[in-house]
Amino acid sequence: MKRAVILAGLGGLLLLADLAAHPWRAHVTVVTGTSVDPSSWVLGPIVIVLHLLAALAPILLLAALADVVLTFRPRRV
Amino acid sequence: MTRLVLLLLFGAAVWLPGLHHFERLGPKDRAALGAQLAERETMARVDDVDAMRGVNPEWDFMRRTYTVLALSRRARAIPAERTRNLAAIDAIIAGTLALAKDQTHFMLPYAKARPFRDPEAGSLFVSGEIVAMIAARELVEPRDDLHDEARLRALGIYGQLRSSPSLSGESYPDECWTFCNTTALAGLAMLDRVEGTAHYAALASDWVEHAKAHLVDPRTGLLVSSYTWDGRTLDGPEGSSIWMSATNLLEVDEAFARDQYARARKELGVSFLGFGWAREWPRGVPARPDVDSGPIVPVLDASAGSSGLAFLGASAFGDTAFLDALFASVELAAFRDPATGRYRAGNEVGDAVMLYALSFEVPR
Repeated sequence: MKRAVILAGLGGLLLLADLAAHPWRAHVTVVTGTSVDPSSWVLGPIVIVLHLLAALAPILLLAALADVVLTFRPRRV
Repeated sequence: MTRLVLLLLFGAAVWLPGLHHFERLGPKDRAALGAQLAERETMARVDDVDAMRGVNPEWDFMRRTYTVLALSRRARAIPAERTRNLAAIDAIIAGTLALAKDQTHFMLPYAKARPFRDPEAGSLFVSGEIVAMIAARELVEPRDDLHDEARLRALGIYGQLRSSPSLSGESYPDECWTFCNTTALAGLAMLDRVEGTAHYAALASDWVEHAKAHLVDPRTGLLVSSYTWDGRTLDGPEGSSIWMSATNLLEVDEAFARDQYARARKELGVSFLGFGWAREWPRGVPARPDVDSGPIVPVLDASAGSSGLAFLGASAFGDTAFLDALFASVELAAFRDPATGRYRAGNEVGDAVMLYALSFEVPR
């Protein structure tokens, strides 16, 4: 169960971090080099990486779910 | 540990194959996006032109060309947009002609580094795209004053290409680009359509024959990107050139255009798990990232420049599967602003390319 909680927690954290980074989305113009704000060089890549990781977060959630389901399977005596 | 790995593999196996469905932009959504971008472009608001020119002044020019070509196609297909689009097109062309009196305004600084091999002709990059813009405008509705400007420039291009040993015009000193030469040839072909003539058909045919014999990479069969005035290859095939070149060739020689698109799709296009992107160089060619390729995503070899222009190729050649995959990628990673339709990870020239690509999907 502990493993499932860690996996689900990590997945949830990634999703929350992506949500929290929404206000920085304007900084992703750094990809084309046309950002006028120097902070974009830091914030732009962070926003992109966080979003891509968040897109993969359901893998952790599904793994956690599978772990829980397997925990409750009938055991042989 | 083994169990954790198996659990993660299970999660990945369930999630990854379906992820692209959440990022899908279907035909109706794409039509709405095209209308949204068109409306924005006709409002003549260019938010980041200075920043864009700081990176590459060519983008300021190409943005204008793509926008005019797109608005022209839409005006011909959608009567309700005709008046609005013509007004926007005329404003863009007028502004461009004024600024292009100094052709280096739209060029990278090395345009002044040395003289052109054909100093009378000037840059085909500038004159070719201006002819294409005016011809596209006149396909909607002729305008005599602009027609004279286009004819004058077209005659100049004709002489420039005929007097060159590579049958090509220079964009920069001793530097010819297939992107620019095919754009110029497409412009001439459109001008012929406006006039109902075939003045430039023989030149186009000769250029294609010359290109097949001398400007094609022997390994891939793709047109090279750049070469000297006398025909020595400078840059081999590149995604930032070939998608646009193939699209241009549809106006000139459809069979050759389709051949080039099919080869580009095979050599440069990538589809994986429903997502799509494009490489700048064929496999095995050393990467040399530059302002045309844009940033290259490590491992995937995805090029921002090539992937952006791949939208144009996929749309123009009706490659719906690849277009769907490309849209899934930008929907996932380029952060579309629902209020404007702009992808935040792009720029103004990217918006214009997207608008031009989407104009091929407008029912005619």
